[in-house]
Amino acid sequence: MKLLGLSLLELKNLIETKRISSKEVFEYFLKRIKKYNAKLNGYLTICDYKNNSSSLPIAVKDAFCTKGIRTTAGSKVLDDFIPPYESTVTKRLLKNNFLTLGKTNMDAWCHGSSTETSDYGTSCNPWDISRSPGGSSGGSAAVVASYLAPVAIGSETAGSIRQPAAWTGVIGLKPTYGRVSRYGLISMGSSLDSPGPLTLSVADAAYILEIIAGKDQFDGTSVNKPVSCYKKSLSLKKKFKLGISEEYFEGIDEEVKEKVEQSIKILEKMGHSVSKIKLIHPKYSISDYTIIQRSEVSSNLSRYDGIRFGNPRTYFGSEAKKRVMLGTYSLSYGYYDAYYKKAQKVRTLIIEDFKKIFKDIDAIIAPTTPITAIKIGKSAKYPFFGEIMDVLVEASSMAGLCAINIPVGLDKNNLPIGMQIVGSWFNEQMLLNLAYQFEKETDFFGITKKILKKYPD
Amino acid sequence: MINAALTKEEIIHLGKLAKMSLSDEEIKRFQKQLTQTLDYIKNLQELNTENVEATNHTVASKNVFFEDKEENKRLLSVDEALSNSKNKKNNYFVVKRLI
Repeated sequence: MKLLGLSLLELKNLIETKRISSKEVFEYFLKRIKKYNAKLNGYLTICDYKNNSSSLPIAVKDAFCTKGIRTTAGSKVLDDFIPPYESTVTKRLLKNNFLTLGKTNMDAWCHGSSTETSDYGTSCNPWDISRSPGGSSGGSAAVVASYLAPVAIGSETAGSIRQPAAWTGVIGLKPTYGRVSRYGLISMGSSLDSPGPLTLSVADAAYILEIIAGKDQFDGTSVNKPVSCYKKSLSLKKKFKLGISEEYFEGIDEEVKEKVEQSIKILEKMGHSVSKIKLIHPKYSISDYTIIQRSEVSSNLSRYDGIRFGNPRTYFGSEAKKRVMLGTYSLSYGYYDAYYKKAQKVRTLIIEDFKKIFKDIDAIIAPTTPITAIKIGKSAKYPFFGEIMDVLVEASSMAGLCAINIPVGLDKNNLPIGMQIVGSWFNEQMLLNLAYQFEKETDFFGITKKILKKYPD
Repeated sequence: MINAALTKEEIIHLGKLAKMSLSDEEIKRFQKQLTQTLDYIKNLQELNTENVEATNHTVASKNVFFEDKEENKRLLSVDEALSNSKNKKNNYFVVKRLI
């Protein structure tokens, strides 16, 4: 049976109707991993297959603690760390018959937008292996795009799901902060981190979100709101009011701009209304994000003492050191009010700005990234590489909004271009519904299928 | 906000506070990079936040408590808690002498 490119839900159906066994599906993916992983470096750890007649395969970013399975967060500090407990996200997946295929590569501690800060080498972009797949969930994006897994779990602090999804031409959903539990996710920015799926179809993203979303008593910041039937509500043919902010098209690569504008026209043709909106300039979000994130990083990485688990602090890479140092500065006596407190106040302004906008519209449409995938090694040229790549996603992350990246075209180098739909708090249902309508209309221009020609069985 | 160019001494001090060992090359590089970063984020001064409350949680969660007598299912056994430690003795973590 030809499995190449089948969605998770299609595979699930085949297994449930006994047209194929779960074992065959796992063997299929393990064979593909054997064939292509050395080239792409998407997985850091491949898991053993445990025989269970209905298991479904999923790849998990190495930032999630998986009981008994090595979890590194991409850093040699945790080179031999075997978590004694399971993260809530993976626990919920296991309960729903998922089995981890492997743990995926990432920027160390999620610090970066290219996977180049991983202590285990960079992952490569399946579209062009001389280029970065983005990051920090770059390994997850690379294995989904090349079909070394049907779906993957990633996590986003600001951009770490959307940006790699955009650069590899897959769907990446960043849920509202608090929608999905952070328990057992190795923390980067505790007020920002949001786990979410990377997939080849919108229905798969809806299905995964339904499983992982919801209040968790182990994460006090997870929010007690009922979880919608995301999958069921995909087929509702709703019409939405969409907003476009000019600031999000400034300084953007021409081809990216062109493809996003083309897709906005398609959405209009489908009956959605489009209007202009004005948001606080994204340059302020870069600063605001930098302070908040560095501060939270310095606090979160203080627990790695090399005593209870992991290696000593001398194992930290340069990027982590740099971030911890700035965070230590911005939180220290005499500077706290000037930096951290000020940033938290600006954060309120950003939230209020979005609240006002979402009174009139359902979603904001914008490019996900200013440019398409860059060559590996080029990120060092930019002092704020991560922040600049994430300029279009930081404000929504700071506000804790939900958003989804969908593929909307290829540039002249045959590299994917991503468009994001940003929704109001806990409005994932709307994002998924709109993305699903767009998928039905365009099939994402065949992008998710085109890449698989490069990766035959 | 403070107009800052970080000195070499400040970088060394921050490294100490954060318990990060820094090479001479790193001290030099961080001095330059962190100063650049501080220079960039100054633009927040352009925004008036005088009567603005600070945000801690984006969807304003209230305090969260466990019920009394509720079982804490997160508890690890002693063996589990020690399972990743490289230096342990009689069910304790071994640390450097403090005084």
